[in-house]
Amino acid sequence: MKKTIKQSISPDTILSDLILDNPQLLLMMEHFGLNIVVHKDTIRQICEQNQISIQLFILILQLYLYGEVFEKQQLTKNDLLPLVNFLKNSHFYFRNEKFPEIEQHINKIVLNNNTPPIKLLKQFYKEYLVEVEKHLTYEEKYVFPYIQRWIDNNKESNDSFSINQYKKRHTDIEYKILEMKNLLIKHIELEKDMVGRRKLLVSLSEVEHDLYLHSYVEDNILIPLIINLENR
Amino acid sequence: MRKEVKISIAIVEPSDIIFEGLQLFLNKTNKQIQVSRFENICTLLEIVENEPFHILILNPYFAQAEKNQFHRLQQKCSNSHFVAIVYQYYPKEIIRLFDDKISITDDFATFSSFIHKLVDSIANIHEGSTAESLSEREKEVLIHIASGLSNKEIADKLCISIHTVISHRKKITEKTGIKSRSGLTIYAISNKLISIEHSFYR
Repeated sequence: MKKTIKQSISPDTILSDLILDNPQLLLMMEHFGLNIVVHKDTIRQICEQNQISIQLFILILQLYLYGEVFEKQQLTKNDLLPLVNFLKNSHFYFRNEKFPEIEQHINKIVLNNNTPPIKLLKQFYKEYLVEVEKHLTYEEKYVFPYIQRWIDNNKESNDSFSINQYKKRHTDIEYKILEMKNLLIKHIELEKDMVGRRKLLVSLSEVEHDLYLHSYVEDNILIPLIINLENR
Repeated sequence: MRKEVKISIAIVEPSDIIFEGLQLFLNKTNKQIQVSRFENICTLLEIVENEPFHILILNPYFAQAEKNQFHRLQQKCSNSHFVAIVYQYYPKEIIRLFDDKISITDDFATFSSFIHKLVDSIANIHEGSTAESLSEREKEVLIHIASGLSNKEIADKLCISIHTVISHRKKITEKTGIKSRSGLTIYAISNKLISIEHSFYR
């Protein structure tokens, strides 16, 4: 895999060139709900076809390329809908793809290694899933509908929810994934299925990274944007 | 090749004889050590933020007479190893505020082996090694965590303050990369510190 080279990204950059060099962008495309087959289209063309602002798209693109964004953001209310869809799609990816995939890897390792630590790791993961489910459900039940009210211009001035409640509540959900990686790399000895362990570690790392990006979008892009709107 | 980490030690000891003796012994251990002396906890607190020490050797008098200052020091130096230099009787609960103790009656061999072990374990932490680098007290706290006790219960059991328990937990997390009780329990079982039957997973 090629290393990401910091290249200047402009609205006229051809997206397929970036995706070829940076496969992590495939997931970003999926979260945006975009078709992977982008022909020779530029970022500008893709954004126009899909009603996503160029600012938002480049912002998230930079996040997926560099792990953080530095520029001052100039997002508007129109960015809320693609942002919420992005977050909803990533919830779907965690729930329906990554979490079950990790579970399958663990189950297979447990089948091959009947030792207490690995059996406990399975239980640890189950407990984690309950915790993370609470986190996702909270967002779906309170945060996303609140943003939808902004999008639909339906927000009452005495809305019982405010983004500050969410800001305070927003907790780190990738930490336990890192704990599992630490346990698997440093402490839990396996007798068999080293390939299974490697696959599990790769899946854990992938989900850890996307959870990080997910939280980054929420904390550093969505919340500031809403606070800005609330203060107007 | 292993890189020698230069270990910094702060000594808070009013007696010149004891301090000079300590320094002489430390020099004789042939470890890369840098020693600084402080009159009291206050003067140490002033600089400790900018200049953290690996090891703090204190006369337990300070833990007894300047309780609040001592707590602040523990808070600020949660990564440092606290060693009591004991030459008169102190109640157990005072000594337990420290990670380790050395006694004025220790001969050089005992002292030297203690310092060697301590310096090596600190060097290990800096290299990211784990299991062996937990101190005996940290292992004790870990076992209680894994058996399902709360911070308060651990504090009562070991006759230490909740704050000290929390500071041990912080150190354990730094050394192992694991914070949650479930994760620490798996760590303890993997490293054979506790059996599954005695853990809260039983």
